[in-house]
Amino acid sequence: MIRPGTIAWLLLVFAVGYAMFQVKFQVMQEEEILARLNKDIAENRDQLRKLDAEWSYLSQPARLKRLASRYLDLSPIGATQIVELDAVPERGAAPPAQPTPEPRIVRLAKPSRP
Amino acid sequence: MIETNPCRPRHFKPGPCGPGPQEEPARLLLETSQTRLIITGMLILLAFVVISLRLVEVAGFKAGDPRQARNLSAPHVEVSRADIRDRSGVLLATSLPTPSLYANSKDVLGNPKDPQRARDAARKLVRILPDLNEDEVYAKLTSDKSFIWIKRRLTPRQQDAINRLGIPGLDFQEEDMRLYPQANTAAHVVGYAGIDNRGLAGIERGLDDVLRSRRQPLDLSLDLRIQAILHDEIARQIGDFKAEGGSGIVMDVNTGEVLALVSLPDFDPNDPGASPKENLFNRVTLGTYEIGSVFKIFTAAMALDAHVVSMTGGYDATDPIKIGRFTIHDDHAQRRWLTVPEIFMYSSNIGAAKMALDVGGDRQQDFLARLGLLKAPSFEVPEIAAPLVPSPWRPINTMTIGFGHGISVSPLQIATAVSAVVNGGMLHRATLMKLPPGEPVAGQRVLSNATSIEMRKLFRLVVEKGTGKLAAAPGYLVGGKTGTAEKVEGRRYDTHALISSFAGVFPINDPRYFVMISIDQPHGNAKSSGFATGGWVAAPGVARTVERMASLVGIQPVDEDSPEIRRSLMVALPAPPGRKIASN
Repeated sequence: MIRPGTIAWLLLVFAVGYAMFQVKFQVMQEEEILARLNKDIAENRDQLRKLDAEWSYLSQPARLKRLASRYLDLSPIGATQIVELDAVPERGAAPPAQPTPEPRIVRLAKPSRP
Repeated sequence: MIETNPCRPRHFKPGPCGPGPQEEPARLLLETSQTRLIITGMLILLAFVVISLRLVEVAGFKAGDPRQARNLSAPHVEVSRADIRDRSGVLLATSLPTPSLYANSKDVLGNPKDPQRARDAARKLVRILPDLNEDEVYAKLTSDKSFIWIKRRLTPRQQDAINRLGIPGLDFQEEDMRLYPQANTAAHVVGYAGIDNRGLAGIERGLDDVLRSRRQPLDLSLDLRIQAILHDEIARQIGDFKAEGGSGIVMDVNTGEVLALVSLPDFDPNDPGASPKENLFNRVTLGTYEIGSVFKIFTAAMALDAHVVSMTGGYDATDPIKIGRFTIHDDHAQRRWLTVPEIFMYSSNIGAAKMALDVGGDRQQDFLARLGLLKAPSFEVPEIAAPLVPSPWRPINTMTIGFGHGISVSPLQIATAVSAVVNGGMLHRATLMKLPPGEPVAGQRVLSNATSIEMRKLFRLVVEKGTGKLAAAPGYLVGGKTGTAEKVEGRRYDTHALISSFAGVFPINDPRYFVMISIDQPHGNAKSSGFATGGWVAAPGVARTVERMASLVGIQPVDEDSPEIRRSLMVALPAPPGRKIASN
C-alpha cells in the first residue's frame, strides 16, 4: 500500500524534473535568439562602418560645394548679412500709425529648373 | 499419563532453534548487527545532512551566480587600425573589410574547356568594372591558374553586380583596406598606410603605434570644413597666378591646435602612387623657406619687448645699407626717417635691419630660439624639417634675418611663433590632436602682454594702411603681415622666382585664429597689375578664407569703424610725409 506522503513526494519529483527541463530548453532557445541578435548587431555595426565611410565620402565639402553651386542659388554668407538680435527693431517699437507690412515669402532657391 | 507425555513441558528440551545453551552468542550477534546498523544509519544520515546543507547553500546563498551565457555581448567589429576623424567627428580614415575579386580560371573555362565562356565573362566583367581592359581580363581568365586577382577593392555595388552575373569560377576575398573618404582634402595631414596596414606618411605614420593598438577613433584638431575652404582658396590663388604650388595653415592662437593644413599640389591617399612623388611633399612641415618680410613680426616684437625702441621711436630709412657686397634696400622705399609702425606697414627692410642690429645678434638668437624658430618643432606628423640657421651668426646675418632672409623655417614654425606674438605672449606647442575644449593649455611666456597688444596694432595697420590691404575681410578685423621672398637657387637668389605669403590673424582685437597662405612662384597677372607679391597673391586668399570660416567658428562680425575698436587698435602715426619730421 502506497502512503499519501510517498505520492506527494513522487509528484513533487516529477514536477521539479519537468520544470527543470522546461527551464533548460527555454534557456537554450533564448541563447539561440541571443546568438542571432549578436550576429545581427555585428552585421549592423559592420554596415554602420561602411555607411559612415560612404557618408563621409558623399559629404565631401568639395562635392557639396559643386552640388550647391549647381542646384542652389546660395552663396557664402557675408559679414553684412549677420546682425545682432539687439540691432533688430522690436515689432512694438514701430509707430502704430504704420501697419506692419505683410510678411513676404523669401525664396531661397529658384523653383525647379529644367 | 501426563507424566508419560514426552512433550510435557517439564521434559521439554529446547531444540537448536530456541534459546538454550547457545543463547549467549546469538544475543551478541544481534547486538553487533544493531551497532552496525546504527553506524551505517549515522553515516547515511551524515551524508544526507551534508547534501541538505549543500542544497541550502546552493539554493539560498549562491543564487547570484548563474551560469553565464557564452556570448552575452555582441562582438565588436575587429579593426586592424583605429579610425581617424576630424574635430567634429567626420571620418578621415577608416578600415573596411573590402571584397576583392579573384578567378579560378579552371572553373571559368569549364570542362571541357570553352574559351567562349571566358570571352563572355570578360565582356560582362568589363561592363561592370569599366577601368579594366577586356583583353587583359580574358587573358587572366584563360591563364589556367586556380587563383588570379581580377580586381582588388570592389565597392559593395560592384560586388553585388558581379554576384548577379552568376559566372562560375569567380569569387571574392575580404581584405581589410584603409579607406580615405575625404581623398585629397586632408591628404598631407592624414597621410596614408600601405597594403600591410603600416602607416607610411602623415598621422598614419607618426601615430602608427597608437592607431594600431586602439579601438576608439582618433580625433584630430583639424576642422574639415575649414580645411576644405583653405584648400579651395589656395588652389584658386595657384590657378589665378599660374603658380607652382602653395601652402597654408590655420591655427587656434590660444591653444596651438591646427585647424587646417594644406600643401598643394597634393595627392589621393587612396592611391598615393598615382601622383608624382613631389606631390607627397608637405610644404607646411617639411618645407623650409626664407619667408621674407613676415619675419619682421619677430624683429619688431623683439625690439619692442626688449625696450630697445618704442612705438613712437624709429630709424632712418633714407639710404640703402651697404655691407660688403650686399645692399639692403626697400621695395616700397619712403626715403625718410620711419617710425616702428611705419617700418612695419611699409615693410621697410632698411628699418628692420637697423632695428635688428640695435637689438643685437645674441639677443636676437635668444629671442628666436624662445619662439622655437631655431630648432625642429615637435609635431604629430613625422615629416618635420629643421630650420636652416646661419652659423656663425654675424652682424650681416642679424640684419638680413631682421627682414627674413638668411634663415629658412617651415610655415608651421611661423604659425606657432606668430600665434605666441599676438595671443598675449604665450607659446603653445603646435598640435594636430583635438584638445579638450575649455581647459587651459600649457604654454610658455615668450614676451610680455603689453608687447603683444602693441604687435596687434601693428598687424592691423598693415591691413588698414600698409602692404596687406587686400587681406581685409570687412567685419572680421584681419591683421597681419605680408612677405615676399626670392627663392634661393643654389647659392644666389632668383629674382623671378618668388614665395609670396601673408600671415594673418583675426579678429585682431581679441585674436582667435592665425591664417597663413604662401604661394610658390606666382606670376603676376592683369588683375594684380603684374605684381606677384604677398600683398597681391596671398592676402586675397587669406581674406576669403577668413570670410568663409568666420561664421563656421562662431565669430560675429563687428563694426570696424566703431569708436571702441578704433581706440583699441589706434597707432600714432607721424604727420603725412612732406612736412619735416623731427627725429628723436
